[in-house]
Amino acid sequence: MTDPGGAEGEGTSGSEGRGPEDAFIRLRGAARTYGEGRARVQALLPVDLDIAAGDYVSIAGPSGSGKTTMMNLIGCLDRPSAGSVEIDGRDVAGMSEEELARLRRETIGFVFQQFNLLPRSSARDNVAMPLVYHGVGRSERERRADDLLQRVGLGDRTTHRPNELSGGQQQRVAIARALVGAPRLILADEPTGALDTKTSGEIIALLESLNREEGVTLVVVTHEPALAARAARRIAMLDGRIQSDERGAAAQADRAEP
Amino acid sequence: MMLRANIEIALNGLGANMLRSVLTTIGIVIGVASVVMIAALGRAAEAEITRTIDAMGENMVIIWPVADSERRGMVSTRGRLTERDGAALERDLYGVTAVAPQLQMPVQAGFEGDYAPTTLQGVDAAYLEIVATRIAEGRSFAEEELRAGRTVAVLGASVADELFGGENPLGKRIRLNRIPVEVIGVAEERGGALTGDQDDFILMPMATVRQRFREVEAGDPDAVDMMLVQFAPGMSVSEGAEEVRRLLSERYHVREGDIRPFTVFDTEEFSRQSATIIGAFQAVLISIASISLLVGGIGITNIMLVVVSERTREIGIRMATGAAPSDIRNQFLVEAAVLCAIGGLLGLILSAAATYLISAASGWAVAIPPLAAIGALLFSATIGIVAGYAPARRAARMNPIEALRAT
Repeated sequence: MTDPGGAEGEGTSGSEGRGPEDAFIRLRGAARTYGEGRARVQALLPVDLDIAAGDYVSIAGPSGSGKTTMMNLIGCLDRPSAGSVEIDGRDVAGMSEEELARLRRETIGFVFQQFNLLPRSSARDNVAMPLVYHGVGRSERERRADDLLQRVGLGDRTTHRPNELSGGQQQRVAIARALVGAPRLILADEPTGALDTKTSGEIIALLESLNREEGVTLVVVTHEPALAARAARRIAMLDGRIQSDERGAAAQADRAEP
Repeated sequence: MMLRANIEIALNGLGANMLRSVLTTIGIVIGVASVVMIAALGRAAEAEITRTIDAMGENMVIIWPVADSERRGMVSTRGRLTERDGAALERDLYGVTAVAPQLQMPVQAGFEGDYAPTTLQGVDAAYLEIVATRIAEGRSFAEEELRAGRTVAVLGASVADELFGGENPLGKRIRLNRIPVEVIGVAEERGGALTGDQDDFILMPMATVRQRFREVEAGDPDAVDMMLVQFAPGMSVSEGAEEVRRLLSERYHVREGDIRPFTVFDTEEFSRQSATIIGAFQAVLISIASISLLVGGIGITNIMLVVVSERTREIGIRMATGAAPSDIRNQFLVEAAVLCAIGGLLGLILSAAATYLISAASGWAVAIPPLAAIGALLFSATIGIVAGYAPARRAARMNPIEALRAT
């Protein structure tokens, strides 16, 4: 699963680089509609997409473009109305809610724009929380949480509550929480949307280092072109479709221009 | 492990709204307190009945010269019961070990300006034997005193206390309806019972009471006010009572369907009747408790619905990070159960305080049976699970995407 080349954007990973059988995430004709009858909204038109393990992908687009819907499908928070979504070769369409939860628990770590920490729990308890559902005992939960907080640079803030931490620190706690289940995929939804520029840079650097050093597949959903441009593979969405799907250092350099 | 984590989450959540949580459980508190009180009082009442029966003496049939209550109608029938009847019962009935007739009358007892209204009982040797009257101080009656009708008395503990306080009553002369009487003994305390103060009496020889205290009236010269008939251990007193009725009916020529001039009662029937009364009380209390628990349970359901909607975002976060619907459901079920168990605990404390006050005030030995305490906690937790089921299911069915969007 580790593929540093892909992370560097050398074009060696991704759907075009490997056979479809190797894809970690595979969407085939995956579509999502909401509502019924006249109120029916086609949020995502049938889409085919393969994401390789260890890749760094951005999904960009304005609101209403379908990027959030696609992220929810990739994150197994939702199931497609039509088509299939496979994670590691397993189709989520046929899964029960319990199985879906298990897949999320074992495979995916979420990072949200609004951090989504439990306000009354300490940083340590927030990070340790998902491990409850892994059936890990309390002392082990706390040990692992402290390790991860150390790793994201918050070793001295373990007992602080979210309201005692800055935005950037809160997002680091959230990243530590996303990592606690040793996921193969980190799904970041506007991870820097609520942060200032300097902090944003630090957070994105932290996420990128996880992709680069640990080989974690990183999918960043954003409407900010500068952030989207940093990814090795850049998917742009519009009106429920994939508008463009680019890869390569050259494009990355172009896009990086403000 | 999951349960422990859930309990921690529950306590954390409940602690955040301490006042609301405690108020919510009031229905459960009262319900559980009632249930525990029912158990405690029921047990105490049973113990008191046993004690009362023990005080009366076991295997006992009691006869009063009062028209049989079962058939009491418009016609008033003068009751009849004599010492000769007693002699006949002792002679003719199988299994009778002793017959103790007695006279009873209200008297005013006085000593140096202290007065106490009490009951004077005229007794014979058989009474002292049947009704285990232990003498705490002094002595019981000598045979000669019983036969000759001496003016000597044995005081019940509370009479002795009222007239003498801490003073030694032995050898003192008290006045009963102005007649001077010498105190020769004080009976051992029997304690309170369902039937009232069991130590409020003065015993004197029956002959003395008949000669000195009774108004001369028409009727049987050897009439008595009450008679105790003791049967041999192991015999059925209900059957014994039936035999007594048959024999006395013969003696008084009572025909089938006539009103008997006497009432026969046995200790078995007494405990049966007492149990019926206690049962009725318990039924009333249980219905109050059930209503309270029902209302309490609805309150829990209500507050859990509020809690679930307040914590929608938390539910979304937990689901996104791997909690399965069943995990979320269990979390809220545990929270409801913990909430109710806290209510149960408060109810237990309340009932412990109440039983303490009741036993202090009444002298009853009221205690909470440990099984009832454990049962109450488990029961209230069960109510929590039942009451929390619908809210927990609602939480478990939430869509994580929508839940995450909640403010």
